[in-house]
Amino acid sequence: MRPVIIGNSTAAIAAVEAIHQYAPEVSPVLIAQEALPPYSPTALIALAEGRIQEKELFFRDAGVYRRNHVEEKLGKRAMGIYPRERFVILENGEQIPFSKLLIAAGARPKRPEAPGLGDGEALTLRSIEDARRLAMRLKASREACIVGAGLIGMELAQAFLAKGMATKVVEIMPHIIPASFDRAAALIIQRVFEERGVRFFLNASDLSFQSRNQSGVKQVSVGGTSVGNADVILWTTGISPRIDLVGGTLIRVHRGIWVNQKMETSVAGIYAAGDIAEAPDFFSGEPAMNPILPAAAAQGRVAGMNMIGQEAEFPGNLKMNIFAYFGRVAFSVGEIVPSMGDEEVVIRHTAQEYGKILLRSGKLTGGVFVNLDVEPGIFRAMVASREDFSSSKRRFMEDIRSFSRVWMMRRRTEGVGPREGFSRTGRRVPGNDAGLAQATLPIQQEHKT
Amino acid sequence: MAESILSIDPRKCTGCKLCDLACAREKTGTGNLERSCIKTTLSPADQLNGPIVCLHCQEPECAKVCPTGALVKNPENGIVAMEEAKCIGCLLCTMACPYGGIYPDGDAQKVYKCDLCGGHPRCLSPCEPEALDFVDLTKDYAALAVSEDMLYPGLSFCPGCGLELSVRMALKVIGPNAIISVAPSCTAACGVSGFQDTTGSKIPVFYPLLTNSASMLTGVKRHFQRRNVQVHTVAIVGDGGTADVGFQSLSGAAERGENILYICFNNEGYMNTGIQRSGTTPKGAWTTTTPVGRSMKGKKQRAKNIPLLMAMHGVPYVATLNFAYPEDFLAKIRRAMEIKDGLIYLEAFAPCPVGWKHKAERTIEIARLAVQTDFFPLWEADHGVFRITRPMENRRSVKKYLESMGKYSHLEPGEIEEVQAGVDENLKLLKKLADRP
Repeated sequence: MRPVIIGNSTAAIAAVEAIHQYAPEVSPVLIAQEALPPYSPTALIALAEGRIQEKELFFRDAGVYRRNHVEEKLGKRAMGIYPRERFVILENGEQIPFSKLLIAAGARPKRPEAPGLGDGEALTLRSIEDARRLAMRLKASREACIVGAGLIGMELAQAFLAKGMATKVVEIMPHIIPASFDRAAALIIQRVFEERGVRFFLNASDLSFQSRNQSGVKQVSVGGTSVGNADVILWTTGISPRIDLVGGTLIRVHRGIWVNQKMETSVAGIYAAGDIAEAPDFFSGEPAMNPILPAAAAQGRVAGMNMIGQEAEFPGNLKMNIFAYFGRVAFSVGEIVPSMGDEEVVIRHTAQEYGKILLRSGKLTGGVFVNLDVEPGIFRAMVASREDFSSSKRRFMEDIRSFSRVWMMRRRTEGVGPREGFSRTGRRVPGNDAGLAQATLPIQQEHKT
Repeated sequence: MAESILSIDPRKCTGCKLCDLACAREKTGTGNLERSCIKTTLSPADQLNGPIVCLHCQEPECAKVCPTGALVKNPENGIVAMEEAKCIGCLLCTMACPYGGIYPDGDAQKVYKCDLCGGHPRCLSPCEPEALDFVDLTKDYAALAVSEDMLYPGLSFCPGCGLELSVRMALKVIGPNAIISVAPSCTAACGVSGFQDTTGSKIPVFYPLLTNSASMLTGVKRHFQRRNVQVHTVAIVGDGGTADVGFQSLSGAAERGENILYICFNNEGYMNTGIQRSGTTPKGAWTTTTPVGRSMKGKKQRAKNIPLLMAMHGVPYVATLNFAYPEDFLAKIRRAMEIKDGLIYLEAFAPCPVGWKHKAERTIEIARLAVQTDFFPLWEADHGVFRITRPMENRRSVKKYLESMGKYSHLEPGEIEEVQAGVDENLKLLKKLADRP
């Protein structure tokens, strides 16, 4: 009876490596639909564009299973889970018994659905197959229509522009990238794309498609009016966690598979992590979806550790997203709109730049930054620190870059002081806690103090 | 495996940016500071300057979030390297790194970061104030990993015993060219000095009385000195045999200048015989002879400061040790082994899960807390020169330390404040001795 993992991307591999780190004698079983080494959907656009080749896509090579003592069942799809009987059933009928189970099966892209849109006429981008299909289509495409102006949609818009394609973007919400940016930030980003010829149709309703005489070309209509043609349609409206996998069981689901701080589901010994999991929010502790790579990595690791009895706790889902576009950077951490009683401090707002932080009882609950000089990782660490910054609001406005860097430097040296080492001259010198310093700034606290 | 990393002391940085310039020149052939991998910030408002740069972390957060696995820590040289062909410029790493050590290269749609110039960082030599240094950290760990444990496995110390950990670590460094004396204590009772014709120690060991470790070891040392044989004679004694009944002989040996390496493993009580109070039991602590009840709430008297007392004897080397700070621990044992002109007194902090009433798995954490709260400051006096070897710039309140174990659980807030005052006072004295502001 061994631990079993369903999944083969970020969360699953993080769990595999955590299990191997702490219990190298354990040999987990890994079940995955695709007979491929692990890859992340994050890199698929670059693949489709041709910026990377397939050999660069995989974040671990095929030897990762052997190295981590994993018995892999690649190319086999998990169909159902029997929690009481403690086994997973595969598509071919094979039963895989488990002592502990991690469900890291991720999510599938939302199905393209619109009047006039036939099966397969719109592309999604979630698997390597999708990327290959898109790459093929792009060879002959001139006009693109992207449905859904989230981060993926906007990355695609950037890629299509680079290929000299005419691009239109349809979005149901009033501004682009609504999950990661507020209106002010979104407008700045949108303008940069519009200057390069991308057309946006926001607040879009009644999206429909009509056939043209040429095959492969469709006319796109929004609100009953034609907005032009498209010879490739990308459907990037979001993802749906594969909760169908736990259908018929007592494993509690809401929007995803519900888990506690240990990434354990409502059934003892069964865990979930990654895009499929609904884990406590960093601030409220309420269950929240957080389908971003850093969360999957952290969650997978915590789940893996708990599965082999090495106690770990997930500090909570903290939203964070970063968007690189045309040499510019926009990012957000945590909340992007204030809740009741939150303080919103706009530190900069020009035609090109935008920066805003949110505070709740003096503690940072979030920030949005467009083209502002500040290290995203340091700001994220400031939010995660739960420190009281109420006396420093002015510093954020005056010079956020210096302020955040000095904050980080201070934190790194506080409480630990200089450390002994052997310098290049051979003498004993004080230094800093460099290599071990992350102990003072954990992204995830793994051991309860 | 040698792993050296850049060590940064922002307090020494003058903000000259010569490191930025050296890196830019090396990496881009230009003086464009914007493309340096090490970026200096000046902050007059904080009265602090300092560079940010990749710290080549032991468990790099950037590598955990890279979607293509472009960031990998090289197991040979410790450098966190970026494979350019794999980088898609998603910038997730820039969001993950809490030190701001990796940066976007907008034009190339990639990121860039420090690669330690393959092991010879160019930013080093221009740094006149020596805010930057290149420090070899793992030499110690590597050395410890391959040195042999001078005690056998299977000794019967309690789970989580801080004393066992300290003794084993110390003896790993001291090595086989040593003779140890093990006073009546947990160390003896758990098998180190052995039974009949077997010993728990791989090196010669003998068993003095509780009162006379220093005297008996003097005799052994003098014998080998007369025979011109270089061998370390190491006393392994508890706090009872050091501060109380053994102090007389220790003080005499110190005054005579006997070249013995005396290590007191301080678990703040006579633990072997059932957790009785000793001269080093801190004020307020519960023990079986200073119980918590109606007429008494723990020990009424303050502990003796034996390391300071020994320093006042004028011995060539005195130091406090804590296994939770291994580099400091190792450096001090090594220094002790160099001393030939008198007695060396080392005091090693040894948490006792049973006697202090804490969970066995918290031993190392508690040892670390003791230093972080300045309850047990790490210092040394080398031929009269005092130095706090691990200053706590922003130390934690001693309450955190007291809360971590049951032996102080009865303390009232007023008593906790008293302990804090005692800690502060002790530190003030140490700072005066070390001539620190």
